[in-house]
Amino acid sequence: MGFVSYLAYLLIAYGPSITIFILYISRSAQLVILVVSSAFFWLISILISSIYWFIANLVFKYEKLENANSDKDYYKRIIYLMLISVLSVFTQELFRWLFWKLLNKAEAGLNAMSEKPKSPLNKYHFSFASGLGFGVMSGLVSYSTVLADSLKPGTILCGACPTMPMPFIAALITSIFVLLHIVWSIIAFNAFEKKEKLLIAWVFIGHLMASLATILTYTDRMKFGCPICFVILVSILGYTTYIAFKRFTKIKMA
Amino acid sequence: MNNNENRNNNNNNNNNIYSNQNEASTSTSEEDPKLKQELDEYIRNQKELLSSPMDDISQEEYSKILKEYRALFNLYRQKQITPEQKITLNEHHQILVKYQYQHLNPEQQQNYLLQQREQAKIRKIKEQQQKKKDMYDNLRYYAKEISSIIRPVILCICLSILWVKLTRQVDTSLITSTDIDIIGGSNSSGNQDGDEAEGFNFKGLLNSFLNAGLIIGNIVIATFVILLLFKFNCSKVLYGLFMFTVFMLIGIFGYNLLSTLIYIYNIPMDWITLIIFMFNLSIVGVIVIFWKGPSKIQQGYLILMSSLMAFSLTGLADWTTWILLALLACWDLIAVLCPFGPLKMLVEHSDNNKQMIPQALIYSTMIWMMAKDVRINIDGNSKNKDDGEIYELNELKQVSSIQIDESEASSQGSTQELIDSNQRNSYKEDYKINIKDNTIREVNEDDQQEEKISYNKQKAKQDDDDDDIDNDDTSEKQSLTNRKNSIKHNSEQQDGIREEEESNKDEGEDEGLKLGLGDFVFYSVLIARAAMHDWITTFACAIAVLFGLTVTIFLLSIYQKALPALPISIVFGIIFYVISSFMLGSLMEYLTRIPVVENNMKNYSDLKLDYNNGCSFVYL
Repeated sequence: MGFVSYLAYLLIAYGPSITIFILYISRSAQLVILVVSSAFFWLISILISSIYWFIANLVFKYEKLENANSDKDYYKRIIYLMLISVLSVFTQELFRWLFWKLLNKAEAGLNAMSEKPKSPLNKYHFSFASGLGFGVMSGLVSYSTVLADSLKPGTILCGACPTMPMPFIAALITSIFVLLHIVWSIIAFNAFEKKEKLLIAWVFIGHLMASLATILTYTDRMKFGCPICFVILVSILGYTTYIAFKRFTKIKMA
Repeated sequence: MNNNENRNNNNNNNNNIYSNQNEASTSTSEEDPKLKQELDEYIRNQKELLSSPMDDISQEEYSKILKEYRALFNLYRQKQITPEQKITLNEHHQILVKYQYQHLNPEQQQNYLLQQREQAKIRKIKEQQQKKKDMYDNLRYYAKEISSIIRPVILCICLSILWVKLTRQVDTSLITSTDIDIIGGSNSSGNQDGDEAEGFNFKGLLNSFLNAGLIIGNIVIATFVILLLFKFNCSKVLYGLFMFTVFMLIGIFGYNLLSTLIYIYNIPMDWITLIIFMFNLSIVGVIVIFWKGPSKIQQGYLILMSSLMAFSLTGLADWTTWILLALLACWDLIAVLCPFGPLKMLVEHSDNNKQMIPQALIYSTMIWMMAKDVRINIDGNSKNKDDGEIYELNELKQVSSIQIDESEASSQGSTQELIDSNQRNSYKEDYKINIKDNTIREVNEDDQQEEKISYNKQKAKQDDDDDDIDNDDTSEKQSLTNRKNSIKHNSEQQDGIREEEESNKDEGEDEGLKLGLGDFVFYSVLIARAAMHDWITTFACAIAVLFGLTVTIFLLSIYQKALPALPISIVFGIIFYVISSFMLGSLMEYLTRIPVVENNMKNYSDLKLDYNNGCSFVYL
C-alpha cells in the first residue's frame, strides 16, 4: 500500500509538470535552458529566505516551541509561519522580477533561437517556461521530503483534516502551486513589460494569499480549514488563469 | 577595399558577440551616420577607381573584350572557371566598366554612382542582417548543444543518485563514509573523520586534505603521462591503457556495486555467475566503446561507467570529497587555461598534428568534454581530404557569407561558420590566414565584378539581368549547400565517432586519473554526496550544477576556446550544498512538520499527535 500511495502522490504532485515538460518543453532547446535557469533563480530566492529563517531562528529560537503545547506558543508558531511566508513570497517575487530583467536582456537572442523569431507568442512561451521552472523547483524542494517519507511505514494524517493523509493534501497543494507559478509568471512578465501595477500587485497578493492559506492545513481549531484552503487556492488559480488567457487571446486577435 | 573593411568588421564582431549585437541593432535603422559615412567613402573610392586614366581602346577592341568577357562569365556561372581565367575575367571586367564609365556624360555618371550607392547600401544592410543571423545561428547551435549534453548529464546524475539511494536505503552502515587513511595506511583515524565530519578536528581535516591531495596528485601525474604518450605518438600504448581501464572499471566497480546490492537485498546468487556476468558486461563495453556498436549503447556504457566511478568516489569521507572537488576545480582551471597547462597543450598538439585525431586519444578530461570538438575534427578531416578543395570551399564560404539569404542560413551555415571561427582561433593561424586573405581579395573582386556586370547589362536589359545574376548566386549557393551537406554528412558520420570520442574522453579521464573521472564523474560525485544527505539538497545541487554547465557552455559560445567545465558548476554546487543542508532543510522541516516516530516505534506512544503540533504543509 505504501508504494502504491507513494506513486499516486508522486503523480498527483508532479504529473502536470512532468507532462508539460515532456510534451512541450523538452522539444526546444531554449525552453529547457529557460527552465533550468529559472529554477536556479527560484532556488536562490528560497535559499535567501532560508537565511532569513536561520537568522530569525537565532533571535527568536523557534526550535524551542516545537514541543510546547500552550495556546501562546501555538499562536506564536502561527505568527512565525506567517512571517516566514510573507518574507519568502516577497523574495520570490523579487527574483521573478530579476529573472524577467535577465530574460528581457536575452530576449533578442532567445527570439532568434526559436523556430519563429517574429512570433508575438514567443514571449508567452518564455514566460510559461520560466514559470514552469519556478513551479517545478518549488514543488521539488517543498514536497520531495514529504513524498520520500510517505514510503515509510505508517500513515500521517493532516492536522486540519484528520481523515486525510497529509502527503495527499500536500500533493494536491503542490500540483496547484506548480500551475499557479506558471500563470503568475505569464501575468507578471506581461505586467512588468507594460508596467501594469495592478496586475503586479495581484500576482504578489495572490501569491501571499495562497501561501498563507496553506497555513490553514496546520490547525484543527478552525473548522473546515482544509477545504477553505483548497477553495482559496483553486479560486486564485481560476481567476489568475482567466486573466492570463484573456491577455493571450487578445494577443492572438491582434 | 570597402568590402575588406567590412570583412574586418565582421571578424572583429565575431569576436565579441555583445558588441556585435548592439551594432547590428543600431545600424539596421535607415541611414545612420556611420553607414552613411561608409557609403560615401565607398563611392569616393569607386569614383577614383573609375575615373583613373586608362589606355584608350577602340570600338573593335572593346567588343572583342566584351565577347571574351561574356564567354568567361558563362564559364564562371557554370562554375568551370580556373583561377587564371578568373583573373583575366576580372581584368576584362575592370576595363569594360572603366571604358563605359568614361564614355558616359556627367549626369549619367552621377546616376551611376547613385545607383552604386544604393546597391552598396542594400548589400551592407543585408550583410548586417547576415551578421546578426550568424550570431543567432551560433547561439542556436550552442543551445542545441546544451540541450543535447544536458540529457546524458542528467541521466548520469540520476543513475548515481539511484546507486546511492539503493545502497543506503536499507543498511547505511555498509556504505557510509569510512575514510580510509590512505597515507597512514591505518583505518582508525579515518573512521573518526568519517563519523564526525561535523566535529572540526584538525587531524581529520589534515588527513582529508592529504587524501584529496593524493588523489589530485594522481590526476596530475596521469594527465602528464597521457600528454607525453600522446606527444610521442604512442597510440598503441594509449589504446591499451584505455582499454584496460575501461575493462577494469566496469568489471570491478560494477562487481562491487552488484555484490553490495545482492548483499543488502539478500538476493540469492553465486559469485561465479556474477563474475561471468560482469566479465561479459565489461568485454561488451570495451568492444562497443573502442570498436563499434550502436551509438545509444555506447552512450549508455559511458554513462554507466561514469556513474559507477562517481559511486565509488562517494566512499570517501565528507571533507575529503569537498576538498577534492574544490582542488579539482582549481586544477581544471590551471590545466585548461594556463599557457603550459597539460590539457591545453594536449589540445594544441592534437590541433597541430592533424594526423592523430585517433578517437581514443582525445583525452579531454574535465575540460571541453562539452565543447565536444567535433568541429575541430571536421576541420582536420576536410583538410586531410584535399587541400585544394578546402581552399575552394573557403572561398565559396566567403561568398556565401555575403549573399546567402534567409532560407539558407540554416544550422548548416552556422556549423560552417563555427568551423570557420574555430579555424581562426586554432593554432595554425598563419596558414589559415594566408588562405583567407587571398580568398577575401578574390571574392571582393568577384563582388564588384558582379555588381558592375549588373550595371553593365542594365543598359541593355535591366531586370532580366538582375535575375540572372540572382540565379547565378543561387546556383552557387546551391552548390555551396551541397558541399555543406557533404561536410555535414561527414560530420554526421563523425557523430558516431564523437560519442566514441566522448567515451574516450571518459576513459581518458578514467585512465588518466586512475580513479576515473571527467565532468560527468565529478558532477555526479557532488550530487551523489548531496544525495547521501537529503532530497532537497540533492535537487538544489543538481540544479546548481546544471546551471553551471549552461553558463559554461554560453561562455564557450562567447570565447570559442576550450574552457574548464568544472569550476563554475562545482562552486555553485558547493555553495548550494552548504546553504541548503544547513538552512533550507531545517526550514522545510519546520514548514512541513512530520513528527519523528521512528525512535518510539516500539510502544507507538508518540504516533498520536497533538493537533496543536500536528502535521501540516505550508507552501511558500
